[in-house]
Amino acid sequence: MNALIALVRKDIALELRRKETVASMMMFGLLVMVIFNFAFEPAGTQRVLIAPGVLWVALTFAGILGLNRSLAIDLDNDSLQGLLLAPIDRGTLYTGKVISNFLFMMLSDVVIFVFFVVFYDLPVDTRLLWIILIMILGTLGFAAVGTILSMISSHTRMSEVMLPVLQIPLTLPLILAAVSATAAALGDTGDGYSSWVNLVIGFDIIFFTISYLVFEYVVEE
Amino acid sequence: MNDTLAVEARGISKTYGHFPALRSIDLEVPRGVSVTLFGRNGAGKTTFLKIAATLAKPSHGTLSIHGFDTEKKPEQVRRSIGLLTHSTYVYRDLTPRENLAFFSKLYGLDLTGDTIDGLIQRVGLHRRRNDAVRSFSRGLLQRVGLARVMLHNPRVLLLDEPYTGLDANAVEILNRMLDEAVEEGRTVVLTTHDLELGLRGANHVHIIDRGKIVHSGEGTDPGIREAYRQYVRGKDPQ
Repeated sequence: MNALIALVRKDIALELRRKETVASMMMFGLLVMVIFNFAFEPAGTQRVLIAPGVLWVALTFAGILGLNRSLAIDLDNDSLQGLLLAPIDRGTLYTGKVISNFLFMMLSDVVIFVFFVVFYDLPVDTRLLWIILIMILGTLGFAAVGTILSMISSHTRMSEVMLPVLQIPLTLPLILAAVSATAAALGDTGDGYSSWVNLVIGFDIIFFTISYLVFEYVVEE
Repeated sequence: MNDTLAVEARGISKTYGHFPALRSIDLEVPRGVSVTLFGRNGAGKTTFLKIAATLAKPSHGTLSIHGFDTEKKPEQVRRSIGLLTHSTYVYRDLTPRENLAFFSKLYGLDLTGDTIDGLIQRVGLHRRRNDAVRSFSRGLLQRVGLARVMLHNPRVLLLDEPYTGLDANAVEILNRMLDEAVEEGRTVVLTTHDLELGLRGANHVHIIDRGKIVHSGEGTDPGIREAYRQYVRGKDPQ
């Protein structure tokens, strides 16, 4: 557990010093929100139809940007090899990186979400809490898959291009479920929300477990 | 398993695609000695050290460090070894103190600030202990790497071309620490191109060429120099 805490604290310390990952995710996410806002100029019921998709497009692409930046810190000076030399199992390294990525993505998500509420003129009521819940669960699954995929793509020549190419198809069920859950939360009745949330939880558990188990083979030379 | 051996390699082979980096290497390194591996670029020295450090798995064969098989007991192996390469594996945006404090936690050590400062002092970085490593020269960076390697008092030091890019002062510090390590009963396995630095303090010497050990001898063996000229200074393989 001490090693896990040390790994997360190291990532936070580096991010506080470099201020690259979260800032770039926030900026990118906000730009997506602004562009969609002007492109569609949503009004009335149309707004509710478009909003969930816009939110998850912003979160998804901002997240991919952050995953690439986050791994770059460990690849600089081959620091990752230093981590691999430590007497801790590879799963702990993976879990530490997932937690760090999740925290950075959630920080960015909070800012994007505030602008989302303002741009789409959403009423501040309990429905926002349901959206926040699905954002937390969706981001967790996205970070779990993204962490291992960013490691895989880092071995390729075009790693920054390869990550979205791998990540988006693999997380498509997660994104679709999250968009549907967000849409259900924004609707008046909330029909179907719980089933979409259950799908996201299932995705999180399955992909975190698989990634935890195979991470050793991904980082092995 | 032999209780007197620090490193025991049996039929180690490693293939990258179709390229054989190591071809059935057998090597025994007794505990508490200094061993140098010579070889030209691509001879397989680094691959051997990576396998010994559990960073790569052999295609065939077994390798044990102090009796721990690198594939079956990797975590025990990692506790027993310290690997230093030309990449120092430290975080450039952290200071030497922060780097060492972080890596000590990964090794489950609860080192005080004084202990870490003492280690930093040993490698001659006391004045720069609170500066970000990013601002360090190659030689200073290597000293941080050396401090990282010594952090957990490893029984076996694996050093891959550790002299690359070091100034005379840094070479002296490195040599002093290696001498101390051997005096304390640690085992040193070092790879280098440099004949004089490699022979200095070496109890045993092996020359690797195209993935095979082609010559072995004592550090004082006069035949080493001729073998070095033949296999390391000779023409590059076609």
